[in-house]
Amino acid sequence: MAKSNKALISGGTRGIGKAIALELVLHAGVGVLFLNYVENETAALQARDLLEAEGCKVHLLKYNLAFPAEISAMFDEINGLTDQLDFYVHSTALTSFKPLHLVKPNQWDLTLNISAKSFLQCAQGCVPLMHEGGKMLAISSTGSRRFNPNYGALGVAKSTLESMVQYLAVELADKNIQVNGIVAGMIQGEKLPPFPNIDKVVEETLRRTPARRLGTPADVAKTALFLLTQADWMYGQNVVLDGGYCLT
Amino acid sequence: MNNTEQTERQLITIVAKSLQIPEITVKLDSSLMNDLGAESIDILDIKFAIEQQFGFKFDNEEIRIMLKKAAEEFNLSEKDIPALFTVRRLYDYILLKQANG
Repeated sequence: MAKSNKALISGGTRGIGKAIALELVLHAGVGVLFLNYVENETAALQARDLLEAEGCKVHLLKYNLAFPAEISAMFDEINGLTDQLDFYVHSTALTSFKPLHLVKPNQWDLTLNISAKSFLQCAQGCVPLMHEGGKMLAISSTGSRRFNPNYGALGVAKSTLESMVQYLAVELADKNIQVNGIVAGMIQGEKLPPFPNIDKVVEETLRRTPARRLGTPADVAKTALFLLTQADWMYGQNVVLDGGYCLT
Repeated sequence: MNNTEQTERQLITIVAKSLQIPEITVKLDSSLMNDLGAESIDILDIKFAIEQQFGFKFDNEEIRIMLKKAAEEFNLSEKDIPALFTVRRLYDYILLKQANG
């Protein structure tokens, strides 16, 4: 497959974001990737090596999405490198895992700014670059719609994200831009999420999950590939991908 | 107020604002976690605010080495590292970055 497509993935150097990046390079003709990250330089370089070995040009973008000025600077850099984007995937999240009633104002702001608010500004930055049409995808989680202990702040951020998916999907449809989301259950990548009492949380999650296993970044990436390349009549849907957890 | 005093004042303001505590309670030798009650997300918040205020990016490897050296100097184990993460470490790091332009 010719690799003529270009994608931006926020949080694209680790976990789910990296798995989606690989899937897009291998199966969606993506030849140029813009991967945003904030913290882990080593992981970013490893992701770049992995993806470039598959024949993709990777641009690492170290910008902190908590700050609008940095998002603007990131798009200045992207606009200097390309005049076209086909895919945008938002896979960025940060929070403090604690009861919602104990979350402090700075922790709340950081959670909302990075996990949800940045999606809007990035989507706004992508629209002019998707002049030939495009697909956007937000990675949410089941904590947006069900109570998970110590997940309140991020749960609210994910709800916000899902609502933005619905609004943007309608507003951008005329521009031939489709927006959807994935509502992922508990994912085990290289490590488990840093929840308090994680062993107990995993045990309870497995007990309630019909699939009898946690999800993997590859599970999410396969669904992401479908939504980004096949789901031509799907608009503004937040697709639950949780091994059946939400049904029990 | 000279430049280093101004840097100290700006840093203390950042820490106090992030942790929602009075500036007077923030001392250079305060441990962010042990004395001021910072959680890991607060450390990130402070770090991000410093980057915005002073116009540089933290190099996590430099910070890791700095804390490891300090742990060795005081013959401490890895679990004691939070105690070493004082406001002064941030202050020294900012001065280092400023000196290196």
